[in-house]
Amino acid sequence: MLSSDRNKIQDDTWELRQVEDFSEFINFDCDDSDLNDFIQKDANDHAIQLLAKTYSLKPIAAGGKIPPVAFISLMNDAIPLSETQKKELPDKKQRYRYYPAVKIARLGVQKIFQGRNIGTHLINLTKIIFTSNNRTGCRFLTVDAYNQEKVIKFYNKNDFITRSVK
Amino acid sequence: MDQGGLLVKRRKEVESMALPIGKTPKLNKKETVKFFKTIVKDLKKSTGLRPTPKLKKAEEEILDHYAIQRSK
Repeated sequence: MLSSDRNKIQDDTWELRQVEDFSEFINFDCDDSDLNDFIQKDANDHAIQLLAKTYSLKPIAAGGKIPPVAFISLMNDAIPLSETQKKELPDKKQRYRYYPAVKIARLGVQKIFQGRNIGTHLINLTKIIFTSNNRTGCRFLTVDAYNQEKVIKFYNKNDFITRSVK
Repeated sequence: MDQGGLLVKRRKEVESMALPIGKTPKLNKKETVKFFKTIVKDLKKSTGLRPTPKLKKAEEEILDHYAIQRSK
């Protein structure tokens, strides 16, 4: 059973909630210094400047008594497209040169709880947020991922298509 | 602080910041055509959620780790 308001979403066991107090990440360690730096030093500033909003994931049974198990920071994005000929397109029309998307700016899971599908669940809940309670319109998630085998494998497993930047 | 000192301070600030987030690359013509075909084909498909078979055990481990009593 799912319930959601604008700043949180729950399933039977987990709650994804927009972060208001970043001090709860003070001891957060996802085994990556850049991600740790972001969540501990930069994420709050990104939220204040309305660049990216961060959501934390916790088991509901913990009743808010534990630090976040994982986080995801999201920002607006667009997928830029090339011009095409009408005859090449399925419905003979290309509506826009850019398609709206949400970008995963950062995603991190506590080191001690990695490898347990928590990151995948974070992405699943994010997909639900943007397809069931979206005020504008968005069908796509993008990510600027690290060029590391395990990271690319994780995103490919979650239906992301790899596209390298030249 | 002199200009050299300011530059050192600024460099330290930049180095302590997280990496900037890269822009989404433009799809080339072939990818754009494929993109449009996919979005038309997938319009009526429900959102693809991936299975998470290890998640229940993960919850138990997390609650145990923080010594939280589970409700029966």
